[in-house]
Amino acid sequence: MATDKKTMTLNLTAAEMAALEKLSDQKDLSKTAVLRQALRLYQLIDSRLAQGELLYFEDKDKKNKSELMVL
Amino acid sequence: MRFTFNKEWLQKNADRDDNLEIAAGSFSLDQLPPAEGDPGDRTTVLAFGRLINLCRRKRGWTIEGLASSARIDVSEAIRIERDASYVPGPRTVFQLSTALGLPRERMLQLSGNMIVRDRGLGEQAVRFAARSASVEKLSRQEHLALEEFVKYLNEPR
Amino acid sequence: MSDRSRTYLKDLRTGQLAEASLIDGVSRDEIERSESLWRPILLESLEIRQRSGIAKGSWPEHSHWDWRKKHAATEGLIAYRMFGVECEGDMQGLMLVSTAGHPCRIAEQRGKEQVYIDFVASAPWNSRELVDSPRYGLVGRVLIATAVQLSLAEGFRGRVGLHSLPQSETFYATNCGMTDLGKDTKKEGLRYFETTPAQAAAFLR
Repeated sequence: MATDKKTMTLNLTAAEMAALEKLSDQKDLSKTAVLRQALRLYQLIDSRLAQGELLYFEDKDKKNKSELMVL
Repeated sequence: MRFTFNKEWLQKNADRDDNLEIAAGSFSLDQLPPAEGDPGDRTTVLAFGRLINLCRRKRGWTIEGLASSARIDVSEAIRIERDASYVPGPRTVFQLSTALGLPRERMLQLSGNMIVRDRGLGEQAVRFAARSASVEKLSRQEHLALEEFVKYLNEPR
Repeated sequence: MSDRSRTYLKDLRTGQLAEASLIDGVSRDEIERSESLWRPILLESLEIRQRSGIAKGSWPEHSHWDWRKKHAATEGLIAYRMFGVECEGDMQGLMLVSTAGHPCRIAEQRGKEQVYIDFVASAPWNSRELVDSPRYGLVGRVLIATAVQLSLAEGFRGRVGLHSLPQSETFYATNCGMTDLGKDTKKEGLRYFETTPAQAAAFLR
């Protein structure tokens, strides 16, 4: 896969930047890597939902399931 | 992305990798029933447990010995032999088949991991389950039932 | 678009290393060509076994994997990457990995990102389970080294995870030095293996 990279400037609010920094710290990843992970997951989930699948969260006791509305 | 591979490193490790399989990922999902679907015909599952029990005893192995040879948990080996409703996972079936020299694909079918498409197998499983009533020592009758069923399992289709 | 990097496989007929290519971004055409070559060899070796009275049940478990389906299902999704090793013009092994959605499980790195190997297999003519005289060795090592390098490049520090088929457990535990986290009941009871950054570094040394 060709991996030539393109650069862009991203404008984030202070809260968004704080969230990005926190994730970057927790996940041991650069901010760019966090955003790339977010994009990969977003595209994957969007593609599955487009095929008619649903996305659920289940609590630890497996008693409650809630559908996550992504789009 | 470009990758680099050190020739000396590959050379150094080449011999120790010989003969080792590398497949990882999954069993053939297309042949497995859905996780929450029909757990399979109880009779074939019962026959699977009896088959494991008889093959183990024929070899004179204890349940611990069987678990050790097949590298599975002792508690699981006990459940397989005694609980007719227990459907072991594909890895366990694979390990047991290898340890006991039984055909893997048909073991997956008998154990409820794959759909039984072969009606003959279903009928033979019922016959085997009926003829191999549980007694402590492997009787001549059990021995004959076991031999006949294993022969059937190994016949090419 | 694909990238090719130079690598080597062991030609088991001569015992020498042979030049090969690691393909990042295997195309649909390459997959179709591989499958059309892999399938007859697979079927032939299975027929020989059958004629020799070897039970059908001893077929390798990955013989049913359909790489065309996997390629179609993941094409265009940036979370997936498909790699292949080519030698003598033929595909000698294939690997599908995910770079998102499979967080680490080892306690010290739980929740961290890693490269997860969804599927990996060598061509049937390289498997001793299928043929008496396999053609190439080192297919697994080259592909695992690829996964580790990808993990390093992604900033995942070499962390790699996979579910091994039973016959391959020795390769991952001993030869790759991965941690065996035991049976995963949510994944057909297969054993789950994962590397730490230190194990990944040791593997490449």
